[in-house]
Amino acid sequence: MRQADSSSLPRGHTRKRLLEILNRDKYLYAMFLPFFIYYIIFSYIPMTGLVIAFKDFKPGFGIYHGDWVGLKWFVQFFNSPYAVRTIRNTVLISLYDLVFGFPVPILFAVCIMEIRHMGYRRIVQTASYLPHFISTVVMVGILVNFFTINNGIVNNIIEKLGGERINFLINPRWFRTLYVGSSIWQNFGFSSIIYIAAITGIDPGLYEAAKIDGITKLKQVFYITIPLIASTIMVLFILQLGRIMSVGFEKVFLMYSSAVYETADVISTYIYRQGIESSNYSFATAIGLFNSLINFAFVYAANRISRATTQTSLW
Amino acid sequence: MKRRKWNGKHLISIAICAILVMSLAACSTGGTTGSANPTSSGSTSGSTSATTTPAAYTYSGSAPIADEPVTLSILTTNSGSKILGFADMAWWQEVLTRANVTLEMEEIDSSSYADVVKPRLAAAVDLPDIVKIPGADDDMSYIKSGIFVELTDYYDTYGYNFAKQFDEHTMLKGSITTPDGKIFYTPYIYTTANNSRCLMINKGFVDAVGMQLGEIKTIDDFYNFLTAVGQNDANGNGDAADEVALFSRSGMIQLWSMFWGLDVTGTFQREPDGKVICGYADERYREMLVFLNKLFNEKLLYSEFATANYDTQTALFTNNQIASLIHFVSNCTSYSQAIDPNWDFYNDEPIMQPVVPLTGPHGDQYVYGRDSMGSLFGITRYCEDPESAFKFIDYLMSDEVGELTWYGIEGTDYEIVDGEIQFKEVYLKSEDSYRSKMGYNFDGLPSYQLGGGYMATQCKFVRDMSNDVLSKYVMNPSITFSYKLEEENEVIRSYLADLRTNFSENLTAFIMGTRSLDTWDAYIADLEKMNLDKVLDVYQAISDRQAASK
Amino acid sequence: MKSKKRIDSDSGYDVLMYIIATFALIITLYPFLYIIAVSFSGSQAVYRGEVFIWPVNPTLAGYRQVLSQKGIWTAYQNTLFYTIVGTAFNIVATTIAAFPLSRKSFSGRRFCNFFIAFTMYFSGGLIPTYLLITNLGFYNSRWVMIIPSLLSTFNVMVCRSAFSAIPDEVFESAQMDGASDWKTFTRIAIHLITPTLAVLVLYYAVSRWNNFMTPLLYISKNDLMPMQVLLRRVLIQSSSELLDAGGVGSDDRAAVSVQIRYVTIVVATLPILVSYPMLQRYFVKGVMLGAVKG
Repeated sequence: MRQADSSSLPRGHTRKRLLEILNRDKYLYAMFLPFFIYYIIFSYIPMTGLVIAFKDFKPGFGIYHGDWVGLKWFVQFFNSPYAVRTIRNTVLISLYDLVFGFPVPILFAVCIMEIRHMGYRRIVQTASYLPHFISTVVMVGILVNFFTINNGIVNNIIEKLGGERINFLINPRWFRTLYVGSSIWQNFGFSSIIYIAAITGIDPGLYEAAKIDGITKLKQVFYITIPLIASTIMVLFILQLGRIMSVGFEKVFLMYSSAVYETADVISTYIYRQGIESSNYSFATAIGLFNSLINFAFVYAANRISRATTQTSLW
Repeated sequence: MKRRKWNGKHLISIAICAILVMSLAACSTGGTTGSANPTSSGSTSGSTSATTTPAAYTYSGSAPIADEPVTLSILTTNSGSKILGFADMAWWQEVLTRANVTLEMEEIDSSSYADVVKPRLAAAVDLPDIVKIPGADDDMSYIKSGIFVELTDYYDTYGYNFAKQFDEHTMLKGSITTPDGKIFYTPYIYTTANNSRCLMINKGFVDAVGMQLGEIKTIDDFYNFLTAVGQNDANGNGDAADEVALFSRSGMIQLWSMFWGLDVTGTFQREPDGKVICGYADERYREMLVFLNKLFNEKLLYSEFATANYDTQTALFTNNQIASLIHFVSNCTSYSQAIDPNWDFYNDEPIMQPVVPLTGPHGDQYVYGRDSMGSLFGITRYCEDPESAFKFIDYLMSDEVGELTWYGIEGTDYEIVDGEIQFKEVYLKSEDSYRSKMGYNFDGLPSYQLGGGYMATQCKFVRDMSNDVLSKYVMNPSITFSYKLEEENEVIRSYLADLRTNFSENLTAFIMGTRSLDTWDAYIADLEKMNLDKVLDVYQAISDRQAASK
Repeated sequence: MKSKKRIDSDSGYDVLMYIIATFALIITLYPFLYIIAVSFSGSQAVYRGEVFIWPVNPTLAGYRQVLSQKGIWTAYQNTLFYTIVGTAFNIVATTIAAFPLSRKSFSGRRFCNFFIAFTMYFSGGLIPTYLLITNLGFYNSRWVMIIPSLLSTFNVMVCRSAFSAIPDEVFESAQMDGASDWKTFTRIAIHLITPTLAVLVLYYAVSRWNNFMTPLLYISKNDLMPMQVLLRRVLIQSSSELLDAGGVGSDDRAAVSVQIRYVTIVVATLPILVSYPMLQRYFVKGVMLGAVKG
């Protein structure tokens, strides 16, 4: 009979037990083995290239050559008057995205599943992921187009409603809103798919029972739907926390300008402006490593908390 | 009998086997495509070097480059035309035919070029004969890695057309020569005197506010013009507030410093007394900021000057909202066409007109040139015939190729009438342009910008203005690109990027007024804390070296 | 048995849901309609800001230009190949990899989960990966689009969650019938997570469809190029920010450029959108029901 939890082994029989367990799980190990190899090859071997972060990498000589420079790149970064600012901007943008952006796909999924009319549901769903397919270059183009001061639609509407035109694009205070807002718009539909699938897996009998008991639909959402997709939500939440230092380069680069560096300059754009010389690789790898460590720390902490409280965790 | 369903199990088993087999197969063929392999032009039929037999043809600057056809390959950014790849352009085919060269081209879009080519150069994978390098190899790491062939001797032996180019662009050869006297790259060469960046003014607006172009001579006159535009409905559409008196795009406001005798765009400049200064820390720069700040506050300077892009500019032109801007003089024609599609290229004056440069407060009167060095191309060590590759590039620097590039094919695209080039009608119109279809080379092929090239397709007014008037006022950067010593690179690497961030951020802040110009001293103090003086020392050394080698 | 009691707040709730859904529809559909309209409009009209929902000065010039790009049909076929074959490999690999990880009694569970999660955070970066892949012989091979991206750890986790949600009774009854882990997986587990499989197919397919960086880096032969690379080339060429770099003399390309960008979006997107309706039917409730009761 299989034990529910294999973590406790009786002492003294360890070796025999071990072989028994391996034998019992042999199919599972066999299933995972090819992919174990895959990860070793495609993830762990390149990972050794992180040494570039401590070297002065020059092209053409391979990644294990080059002089050791220790923490030089880290020092260079933290000595910069802009280090704190870029970190702060990166973290703030990620937090905005987390706080405002994370709930939206969930709420949208719940909402969509309440639409009884299948045809309409299909239309709304399909429309909702159209924005996901718009490439960043065009996305930013549209954004600028809509929010520009002279001819932009948004400002035209504001003026018609009697207000004064707002200079969205050069005001540092608007940058995060525009950035995160457009990200939410672009991704909420596509991100909701997974929640929809999770909601699909809920036993409809529960809803029927609730209806019989006279529980309002609104309460049903909070007492049935959300709790039953909680593990999906938790996993995705932990994963998003793990992207806290990873604000992508392309979109910020296309959207920002010296007028908004104050809130827009993030780590990835800062690294880019270090120059396109080849030794930039070492610098970029070093700061990338720093980012990874922070990201991982967040995930580790969140994972532990989650495991202890909700029994859901990444590992 | 139970019917065997084709179920997942089979699929899965097959898939796993497939995965393992594929990985193994890929590993075992590792040698062929993975490692640095000779270029695909390996099978050149009859490719020859110039020294086969005593009676063989010798290249001396004009077509062809060899008796037997030569095959070469190149990796570069794709062409300036959005419609055609280089392979489809008639004039380019003509160049290749005359040169007796077959060129295999691999083109990558310019935005991704650096990301794609840098790892490839780092890993030395599948490199063709000629490669456009991403960036300028500032710290010479590509040179040091040995991927590229040294070209110094080739310049001396086969660089006929290059010699002429170096005569015209005096600082160029020094720019591409390493401190120990070697040359590894061939540059794309920009024209400097014939396509300057100057002030352009909307003639229609000038008329509408009742002024004359000839009256606008100094900065103060110009200010009066801007004010007049701001107060009136200069474009006649009923809305007095939609005109943009002074338009500027992201990164271009620095050009205004030329009226104060500064080259802020180039950041560092050499003064007549030999001292190198930083434009961003100069008192004259502060004066410029005062002026621009005033314009901004009075809504005469485009409020999005820091972020505006090409699309915004085009939209504003299409709606005829721009009164003035600084840009390449060769754009006057297309701007005029954007404003009024019915503008007559042959008979009308351009609507956006280049003007004689304003006289600045200290008497400076300039239009802005540029550093003639463009992208750099190297010949890789995988090239089987580097001499032919070099000869081909040298040929691309010839007058013949310049004319083919910029004028097209004689008879088809233009005719010479009374010693002057006359383009066929179809070549010149902007909308759905034949020229766009014909395409042209911008920085993708190792060639140069023909001096008269840009101006040839302009209307007569602009052409005359540029050639006869503006060329007298050109200010080129006084410090051009050059390779630096290792210790110099170290200083630059440590400080310059942050300094530049500081420069551009404060430039915008001062002009927009988010930072008061009263804090100027604190600004200078910050720059000193950020080691501006160390960087200045480096540029002083560089500039002294450049001055000495002339 | 229907409840006779009508809950009034429920109708308010329903209305609210429809309002939200309609709002979502407008804000996502409108920009796309705008994109389609621009792709068919004359560029002068676009710059004048005259286009709102319908094309102004309708023209097929943009489509003609983009679709007449050399090699676009080969590129399209390549994209289909990479997407379909790649996704198939992905699904097979992901389900097989995720299943062991979902079994609570699997002895290697904690270790393996950590093992794969770790790779999401630490990576050597582009150069080491590039060197590895080229040294393995994947340069200019079709398989470079398929093998290195065999697993997305995120998707493995999603799949793992789905397997975990299967009630233990299902497995217990299978075990009592003497089924091995493998048989449980193929005969039972896979069929119970159909909605999740649909999601994974969508995620993988879309990701492969949109991927242009991998082919840019590792493929130089034109006949292996997928469509996205070609389209990106067109897109960047007609994108103004980069045209400005050297001060191109003649701005005559202004006339057609804005429209082209939107054409590339339409051309790139429509095919993949069509696939959604096909997957729609898997998002159906009640799949679990049969398994438990049976």
